[in-house]
Amino acid sequence: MTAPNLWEVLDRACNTGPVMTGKDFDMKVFQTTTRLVKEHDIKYDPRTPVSSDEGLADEAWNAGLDLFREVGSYCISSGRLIRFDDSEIREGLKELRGEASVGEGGEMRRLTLRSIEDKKPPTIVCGGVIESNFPEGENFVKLYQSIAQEPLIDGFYVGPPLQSSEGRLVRSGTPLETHSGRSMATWVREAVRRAGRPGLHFISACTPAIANIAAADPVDGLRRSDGIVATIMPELKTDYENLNKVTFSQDYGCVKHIYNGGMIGGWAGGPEGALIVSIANTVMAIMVYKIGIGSSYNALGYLRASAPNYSAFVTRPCVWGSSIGSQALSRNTKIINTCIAMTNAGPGTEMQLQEITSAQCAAIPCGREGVSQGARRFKVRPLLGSGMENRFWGELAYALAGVKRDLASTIADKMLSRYEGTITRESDGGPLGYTFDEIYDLKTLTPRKQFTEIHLKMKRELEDLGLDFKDDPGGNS
Amino acid sequence: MSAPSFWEVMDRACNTGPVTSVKDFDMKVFNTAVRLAKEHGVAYDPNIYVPNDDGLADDVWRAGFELFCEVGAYCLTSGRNIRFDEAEVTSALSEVRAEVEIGEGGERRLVTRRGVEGAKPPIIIGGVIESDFPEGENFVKLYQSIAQEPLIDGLYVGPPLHTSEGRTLRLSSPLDIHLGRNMAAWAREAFRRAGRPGLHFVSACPSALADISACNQENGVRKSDGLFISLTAELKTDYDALGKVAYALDYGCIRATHGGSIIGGWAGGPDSAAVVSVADFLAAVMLYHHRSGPVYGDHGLTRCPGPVPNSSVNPGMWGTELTGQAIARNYRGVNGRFFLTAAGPGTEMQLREVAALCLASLASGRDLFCGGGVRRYKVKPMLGSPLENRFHAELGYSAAGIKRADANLLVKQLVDRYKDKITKDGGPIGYTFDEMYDLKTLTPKKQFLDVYNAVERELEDMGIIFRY
Repeated sequence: MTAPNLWEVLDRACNTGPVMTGKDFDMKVFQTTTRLVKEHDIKYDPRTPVSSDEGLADEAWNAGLDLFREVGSYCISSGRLIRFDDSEIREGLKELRGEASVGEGGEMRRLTLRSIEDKKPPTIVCGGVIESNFPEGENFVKLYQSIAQEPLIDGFYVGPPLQSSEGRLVRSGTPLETHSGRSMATWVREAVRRAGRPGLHFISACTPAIANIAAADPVDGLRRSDGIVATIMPELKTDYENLNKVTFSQDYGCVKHIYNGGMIGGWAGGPEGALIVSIANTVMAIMVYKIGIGSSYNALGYLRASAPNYSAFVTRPCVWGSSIGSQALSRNTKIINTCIAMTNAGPGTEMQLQEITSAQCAAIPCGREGVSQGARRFKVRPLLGSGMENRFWGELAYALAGVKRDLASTIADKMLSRYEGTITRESDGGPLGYTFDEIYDLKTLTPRKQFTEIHLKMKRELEDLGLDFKDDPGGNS
Repeated sequence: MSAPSFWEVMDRACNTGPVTSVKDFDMKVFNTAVRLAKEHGVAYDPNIYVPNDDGLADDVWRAGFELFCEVGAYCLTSGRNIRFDEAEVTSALSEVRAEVEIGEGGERRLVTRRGVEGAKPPIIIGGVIESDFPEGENFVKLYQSIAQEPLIDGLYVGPPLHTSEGRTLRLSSPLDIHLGRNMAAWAREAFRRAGRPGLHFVSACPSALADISACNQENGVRKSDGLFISLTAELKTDYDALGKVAYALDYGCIRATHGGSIIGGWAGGPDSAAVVSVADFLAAVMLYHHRSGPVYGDHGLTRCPGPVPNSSVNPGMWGTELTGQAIARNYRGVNGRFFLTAAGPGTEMQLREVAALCLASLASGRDLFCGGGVRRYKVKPMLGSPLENRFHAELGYSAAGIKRADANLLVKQLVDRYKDKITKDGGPIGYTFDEMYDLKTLTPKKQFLDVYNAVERELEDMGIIFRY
């Protein structure tokens, strides 16, 4: 037999799946996860931020598989369970091809599998700044131009301007938001054209499906070599917005990018439970979002913390869980999987670079194929984001290729010890950082000296810890 | 001053327009329309189907203009009243362009104004409105068979109603998106098979999501095609409709807008419903930017009350023809008319209804027969065929130039033959596509050609000379 196709999945999600309350589903996830943590003997070890235990990775995989098999996933819009039996899941896993293709012309990139401690460089460096409320128009174009002109960047994640469209207040689901999605895609094409890379790939991350769909245009919008971002909501949930994005991606033939991990402190429980949920999320991406069909790369099998800044992915338990999730997926699936890092500190700060380093130590040496979505200081003020942290994002990913997990753990531990004490509710996570126009000369799109010095200093520190930032990283592939 | 941009209109619809309850808005529309109909002397005459009074047409236009300036429009999603002052509406009307181009390559057509009693043939947009055709091959064959009619300049295409990939369809669900995309690809396949790959069509999915998903320059809704965007009775819109407009403006495709009033509801009786119908058209001008860029529509409809909202009898026909003339005389752009019949395909009654609607529309200055060809309000699947499309196209060409007085006499004779057969459920259901056509060769069966020819003879006896 074959795995259920998307139409059968949508029939279950919209029409035939058993109806259940969200609360009952959440409780079932919690209880089942708690039991599976015990059964599979998964224990959090704060002393080893990057685990080298492959047996633990396989236990986590099996536990996540058991969790998804037992509870399935939940569609919030219809209130229906979307369930699959064991044979369907086995067939679904076989759909994964272990490769993807993004971009056009000279910017086309072929994404292939890496293994744990693989010397092969990351097969994609997708940058970006996640929803940092950049104003419409020229500054928006310049931000993405500054990222596109970084040579290691193979593409980027683009969230639309958050608060206005044609100068008017944007409310979710309104026609102004539809227009914002279309405008965003056009500005991105203008940015990559100015950077001399017209075929560069990007992923569109508008909140409603309609804005992403409106952005699709093979000429001056979202092309088939670009992608649409859909998310799995905590825990193991979807809705019509996300299913609409997946359906359109499949019909249009563009790249799918699915993300989310398990959240520590919610229905997943502690770090161990969140790890299992993050694996189950991955199986859900395979079965519900059909990432094995067509071109896709994803950010799955990681942990996020619920406090003090809910978007933080780089606290110690998160790094620990992500390192195991990375290995679990690398050893047991053919998913093209990437690393994302939502940081507590803002751009232009040493702390943000330290946080990026921790996140990538749990990813590149642990078998992830690349990095995606750029780094994010959870939105606190407009214009937070620049080409500089994207440059570091790419250079570090290349430098971590071939690094052993023990060394990665040592480096991550060092980085964590420097910043984890500063992540507090009082500090709102960490320093806000600097805005794009503070970090860059916007006329020439070059970073100011103060910030290039921070960047170089960080690289020298990491070299002292054993990393090798190669002048020509591509030549070592 | 210039008229407000679409983005300014969106600001009013989504953010800044005063919040009001829909009931209060409806009541204001009713009270104001009834008052203005009296003030402007707009009075229904049940013995007239095609009015022949330019003064009355201008009066109803002025009454509708005043109504729109007084009450504005209403966004159902935000609960906001979208208002415009007189100068803004006047300015918007001065922006109107008098033509629109549709289709590609050899199927490119320039739609221009005909004017009241104009001698030029109309542009013919065929189709069958949402008659629940099944997915796939039969859907393709229906539109192929209509596209192969040489007088057809474009098509209105509504999606299959009930299923997508064989699964139950729910509005705005992912299956709806996929269906919109499928429908457009099937329409393109139908036109290719008919040897007319550049033929224009209008996508009429209910949800903005499905319509936008259907847009694709290669094998979907092209920029020479259109999105069908309706106003909701009376004077209402919502984010789905406005989303279609926003996207059509961004994508650059045609906006095919549609509206009208319903007699017996918040528009009141036939007199005030005609006033509301003009105001509804002005709502399209202001909200849907029905004035510049590629746009056409079918406006100025007053529909009869009841389960079958047709206008092939009075009082619907009187109001529709009056407001059609009002728009043709006072608006510089193009305007069409779509035909709702009480009887179904393959019946003499439907062809007589079509004939009455055609003759009235030609005399009243409609520039297109648009928005769906002919429709028997949906009662069972697969009701629709090319034959009724052929009939309204041939008559549209043959009777162009007819005077309103002559049209009124002919329409009266036709209506007398079917008006008593209109029941609560409409009339005879008619025959399905597969009953009327040989689906292998896509040719009509003899029984239905005989019906077609018989009604054609009737019209010839009434003085119409068929050119085709």
